[in-house]
Amino acid sequence: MTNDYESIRHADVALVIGSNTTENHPVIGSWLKEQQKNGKTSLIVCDPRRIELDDFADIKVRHRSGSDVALLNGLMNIIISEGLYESEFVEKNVEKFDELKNLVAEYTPGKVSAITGVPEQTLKEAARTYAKGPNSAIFYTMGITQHKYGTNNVKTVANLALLCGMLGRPGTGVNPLRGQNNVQGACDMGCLPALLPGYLNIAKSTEQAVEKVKKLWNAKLPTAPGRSIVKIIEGAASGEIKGLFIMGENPMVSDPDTNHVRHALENTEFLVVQDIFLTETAQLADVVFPATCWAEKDGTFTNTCRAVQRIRKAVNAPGEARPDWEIILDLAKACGAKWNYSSPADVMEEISRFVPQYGGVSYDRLDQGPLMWPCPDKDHPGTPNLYTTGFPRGKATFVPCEWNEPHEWPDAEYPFLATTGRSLYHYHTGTMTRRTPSAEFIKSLYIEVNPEDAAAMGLGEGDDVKVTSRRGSVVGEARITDRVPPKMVFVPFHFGEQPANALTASVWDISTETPAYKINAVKVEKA
Amino acid sequence: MDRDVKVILNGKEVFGYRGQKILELCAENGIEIPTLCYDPHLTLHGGCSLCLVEVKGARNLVRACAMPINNGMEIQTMTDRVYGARQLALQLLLSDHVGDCRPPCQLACPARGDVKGYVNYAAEGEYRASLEALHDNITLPASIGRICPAPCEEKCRRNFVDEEPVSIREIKRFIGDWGIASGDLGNIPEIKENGKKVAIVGGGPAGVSAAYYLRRMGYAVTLFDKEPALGGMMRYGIPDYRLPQPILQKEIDWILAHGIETRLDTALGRDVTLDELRKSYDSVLLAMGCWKSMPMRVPGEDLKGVLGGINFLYEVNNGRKVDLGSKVAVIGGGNTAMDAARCALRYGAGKVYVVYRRTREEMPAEKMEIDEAMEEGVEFIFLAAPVAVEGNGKVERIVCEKMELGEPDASGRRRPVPTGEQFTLEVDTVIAAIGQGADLTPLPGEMHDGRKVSSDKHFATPMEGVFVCGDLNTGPDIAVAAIGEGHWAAESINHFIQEGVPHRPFECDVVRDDLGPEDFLDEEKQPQEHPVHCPGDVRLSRPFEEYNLGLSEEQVLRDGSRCMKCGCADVHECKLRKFGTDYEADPETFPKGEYSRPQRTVEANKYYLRNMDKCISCGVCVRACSQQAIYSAIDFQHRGMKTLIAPALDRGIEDSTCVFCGQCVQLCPTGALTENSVHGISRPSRSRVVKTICSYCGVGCELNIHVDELTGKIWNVTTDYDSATSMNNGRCCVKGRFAWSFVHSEDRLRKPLIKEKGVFREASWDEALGLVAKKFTGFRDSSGPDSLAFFTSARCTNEENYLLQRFAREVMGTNNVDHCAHL
Ligand SMILES: Cc1cc2nc3c(=O)[nH]c(=O)nc-3n(C[C@H](O)[C@H](O)[C@H](O)COP(=O)(O)OP(=O)(O)OC[C@H]3O[C@@H](n4cnc5c(N)ncnc54)[C@H](O)[C@@H]3O)c2cc1C
Ligand code: SF4
Ligand code: SF4
Ligand code: SF4
Ligand code: SF4
Ligand code: FES
Repeated sequence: MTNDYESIRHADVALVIGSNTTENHPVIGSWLKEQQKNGKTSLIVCDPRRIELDDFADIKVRHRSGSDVALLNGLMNIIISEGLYESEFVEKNVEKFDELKNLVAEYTPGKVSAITGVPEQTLKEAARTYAKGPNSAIFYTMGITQHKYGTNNVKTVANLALLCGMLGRPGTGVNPLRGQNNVQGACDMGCLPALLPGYLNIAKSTEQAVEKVKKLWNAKLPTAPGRSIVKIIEGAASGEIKGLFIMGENPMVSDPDTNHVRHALENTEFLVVQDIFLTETAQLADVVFPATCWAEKDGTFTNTCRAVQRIRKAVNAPGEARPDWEIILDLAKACGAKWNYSSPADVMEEISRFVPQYGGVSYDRLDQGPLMWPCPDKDHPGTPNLYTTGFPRGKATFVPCEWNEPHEWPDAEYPFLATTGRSLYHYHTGTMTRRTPSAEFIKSLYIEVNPEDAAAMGLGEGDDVKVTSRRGSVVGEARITDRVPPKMVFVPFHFGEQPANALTASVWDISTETPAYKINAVKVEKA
Repeated sequence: MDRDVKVILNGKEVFGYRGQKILELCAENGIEIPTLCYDPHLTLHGGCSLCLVEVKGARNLVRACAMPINNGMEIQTMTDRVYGARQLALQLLLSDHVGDCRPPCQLACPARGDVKGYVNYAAEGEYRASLEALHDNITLPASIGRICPAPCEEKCRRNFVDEEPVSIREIKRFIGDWGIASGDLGNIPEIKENGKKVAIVGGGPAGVSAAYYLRRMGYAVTLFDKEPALGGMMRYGIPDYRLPQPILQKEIDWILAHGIETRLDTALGRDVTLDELRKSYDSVLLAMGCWKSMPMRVPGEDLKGVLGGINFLYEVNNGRKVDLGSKVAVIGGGNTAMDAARCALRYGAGKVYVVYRRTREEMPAEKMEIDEAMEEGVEFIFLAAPVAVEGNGKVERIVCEKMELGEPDASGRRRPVPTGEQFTLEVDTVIAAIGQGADLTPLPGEMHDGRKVSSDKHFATPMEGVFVCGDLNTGPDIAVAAIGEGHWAAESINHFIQEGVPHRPFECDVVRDDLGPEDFLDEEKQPQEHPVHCPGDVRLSRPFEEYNLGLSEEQVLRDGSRCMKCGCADVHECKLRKFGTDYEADPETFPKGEYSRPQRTVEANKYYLRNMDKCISCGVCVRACSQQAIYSAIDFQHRGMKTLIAPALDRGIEDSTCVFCGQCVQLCPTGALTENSVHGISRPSRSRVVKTICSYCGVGCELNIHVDELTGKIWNVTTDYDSATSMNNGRCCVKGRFAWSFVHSEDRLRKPLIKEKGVFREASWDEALGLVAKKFTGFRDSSGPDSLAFFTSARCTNEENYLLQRFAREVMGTNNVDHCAHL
């Protein structure tokens, strides 16, 4: 998020797109609802489904799945043609306005209405409300990123905010809501093939990266480009990857095209999995390391608004399970490394020297409360809102994007659209929540079906329903609800025995390689 | 805001701001006002009337939560009138309240042992925790677990299901024995000395327990006893085959190891006087028990061969010979009589009679004791009373009169009425076990009435600083009662020394005694576990060896899990009960039974329990839901006297818009809303809080993890609305709040695993790490660094992610490192 949570309290307008906030980020959802209820924030909700937040929306934009870029370009078309954008801000701070203007000119309300299924009047209201502000914030989640053209979606969101100058002030911002507790931190820590900790690009700033690694690790940095998850799985399948180490992930359930992942992992010569349970993935391993869970260790997580927060050991680990950091440390030593850390605080000390954004972060300071990066030095208070004084490289740039048809679109054979996602009550692949009371509340896969479709199929609440895509099928209990529009089903992905990802395609966003979970053409029948 | 409003608060001048409520001003000045319906994070409600204070000039008491201050206001927050009004408010609330704070077993236990706690810890295999929970109220558990008549079991609601209770006593014994066998009865804490001294006279269960609890509070304690060993009647009365002395001794030794001084072979009255003790100690506790055998008051009583029951047992327990002859009559029907009769058999008497005035049904002795005495061959003669002992210089026979049962007496038992018909038993020894009394000779006359020591309910005697407890206070009772007496007397002494007046702790208890088998029809039947029976002849062949070997571990686990966890889940957190206790509110002050709200419901979902019987209509939950959760899932339904809090349209909560965020549960001041402990984790009496961050979504809510201090396990998760470090302002969702029990799941990985021929086997860390290091460095060196790859995790910490990518890059030399950022 460019802005912090407090900023939500200052938003006059909140545009929520592709985020079922109350279900996936419930506390943020509660703030948005509270603001709207108290008449402080106008809510624009853009979602194909009638999500709960839609009940609170001042403007309800039920655009068709996969039409996000068209929708946003359409809003910018209206904003520019009605002269509602911040011309002064754009002139001072953003490059390539003309390119944007030219591109969105094509996205007339009539055309966009046809693509998205949203009435022109609604498009105009949404555009005017957002542009008027005075402070408007955008919130989005996987509904935006998990598409073949997810990056375009994200860039287009940024274009809209830049166009209206909705950055750098409390109540504004472009606010992606992170799905998992420490996605932000894992990225910050350089757990990406192309980037070192602190987003130092190995290919672009090779010299600097090599220098830093030499200085801080006294080691030689490999400069050959690394493989992303998708490529790692491919390499495992083809035999190029011989040794694979998986820490705390369960790709057997979380990754698209389950069957393909199974084949790849089975094919890996030596698979090591470090986890708290013998997950579907761990079962395929050659060695399993028992790790501690979050309540059993010290460390930090970085949340979706860049706040580094301290987690604290509350209870002892079972048996001989050990914290992940200790296991990696001992493994490194066993491989001959001369590492020397005696606690997570020591590691953070090194991180603060490696990652400029974490320069001022230390456990002592975190005991006083969270620190929002960038926090470059020990006297820096942290940065709740980004871009308050402009942009890092002087000027930001518009990156106009065309709308493309999704990779797969319902047709005669697969007439429905299936979208996958989370339930409030479960988390991720369910290894944790399915061992809690939530397991009894929602025992197994359910599938949301619109009443119209249910009636046509003779489907009753709780009946088994089968959803089949070109890749596979799942069976779950029907939940009949108008939260999903006709000809769409929603399939949560927490249930390993009926994995929603049996439906999804190994189709990825071209630049981030985020799987396109949100759109799958399927057929739906009573099981 | 300007602090320009001057207020006289409890006589002190303080300043507040305009519009500030009295309650807020009090809080700022460190004055605590009890509240139930008020919560600083919600709008005002003003219904409970607990926050009443006195304002000079105002005719009525005013609500501190609602009344703003004004210039010159004079406020008194704790006058008798205020105390009385708050007590009354609490009593009214409690009269309209159905439930039971503590379970019936605990209330039946004279020492108020936390039965539900220690039984469930035992059932969870948490023996150490169970032992600690026992020690909180019950000292000497291995000993008590052998000899206690277990009044708790009589009240156990499992009787309603199986006609048999939970084996509370045997479980207690198992835990006590487990402690002894492990060689460690518990960690002896470092004691913070408070510089005060207490003398305790009498080292029976009462005295020893008082010593233990006083010592834990920091007192320097000296235990005086006339005997060379401690334990009182448990040592010198109860025979070894029921309670082996080494067991008792080990438990006492552990208590003494807390730093308690003993003065053995030192009798009050003979070796030391009460005056001396009063001079040298801040307080004196008398716990000398009842060591005088009651006389039969029949002719011939002083013949040689007539013994007092406890005197005989005293000799037995000292291992001394007593020549009983071949025939013995034991007079009396209590436990002392049973012990005397059975010891007489073991001392070579060929024939032992027990002569009792009434019938078997009225016998005060434990049923088990009577059965075992019969099985061993003791002959019972019921409805008979001694009239005379006869003999030439020594006992030769006893003359008895037959009795019949008449009207019930004060004890409720039917009175024996003489019939005039007599019979004679030829015996060599008569053991009179018809009762014991206190030996009052060491005490000044002003302290007793000749039979009993005078005392009030706070264990105080007429002599300042001198207290009394145990059998000496109550008359002959059971050992666990003496333990309870010792505990509460210790508390009262503490209150006396610290606050100047004796005070026995008060606990407010709402009680349910209207339940019966019909209320437990859905409960699955499960029979009680029993120890292996040892037949009478085997017992007699090893006369003083213990023959009850207790329950096996499997039996304890099974039997413990029969416990239904009666009583209120909220007992340790409930504000209503806390204030009821603070203000000594008696829930029975106002008549119960006519509940104003007819629609009482108990409704459970997977996450929490709604028990509207315990709802006080404070509306905190309704406000929490609409103002913190922003759901409005629940509201007041049926206005007026029938008010009930429920989802709209009388739907069940699972069919409402509730998302189980638990905000209402957390803020509910009573047990009307409590976490549903479906995961079977016990609620602890002692717990600590650790602040951490939720491990689910990216919001990163700060959570308070509540850890049971006894087991070291999580038992609850809440949030802190006032935390200075929290980004979520006290809010959270169902996952953060309720989805934590996986932490203690049985399925957790506990050891490294290595797969061989397709199956996992456990391995040591060294082996597993060595294997991975060998393989990975091997691939690196033979197939090149890029034949390796690493998935880090968005669920692991920054430190862990950092280290793994460093490992990949530095040690393995590859950039093949990624994580599922897109999920
Ligand atoms: C034969 C018998 C069998 C029993 N069986 C059971 C049973 O199965 N289960 C059960 O729960 N209860 C049983 N009881 C009752 C139980 O033992 C007593 O209720 C309990 O021991 C009372 O504890 P107390 O500490 O008040 O007194 P006691 O245990 O009597 O201890 C009093 C202590 O004071 C000491 N003392 C006395 N006078 C002086 C003095 N002047 N100066 C210094 N020290 C002095 C004594 O030596 C003794 O150590 C039994 C009692 C008897 C007599
Ligand atoms: S809610 Fe409070 S007062 Fe009521 S039974 Fe529970 S603990 Fe007792
Ligand atoms: S079932 Fe358990 S809690 Fe209930 S009375 Fe029996 S021992 Fe006590
Ligand atoms: S759990 Fe949350 S949503 Fe449900 S009633 Fe309570 S406060 Fe409302
Ligand atoms: S409590 Fe809920 S909203 Fe808060 S971090 Fe955890 S999962 Fe997210
Ligand atoms: S009336 Fe003031 S706290 Fe309830």
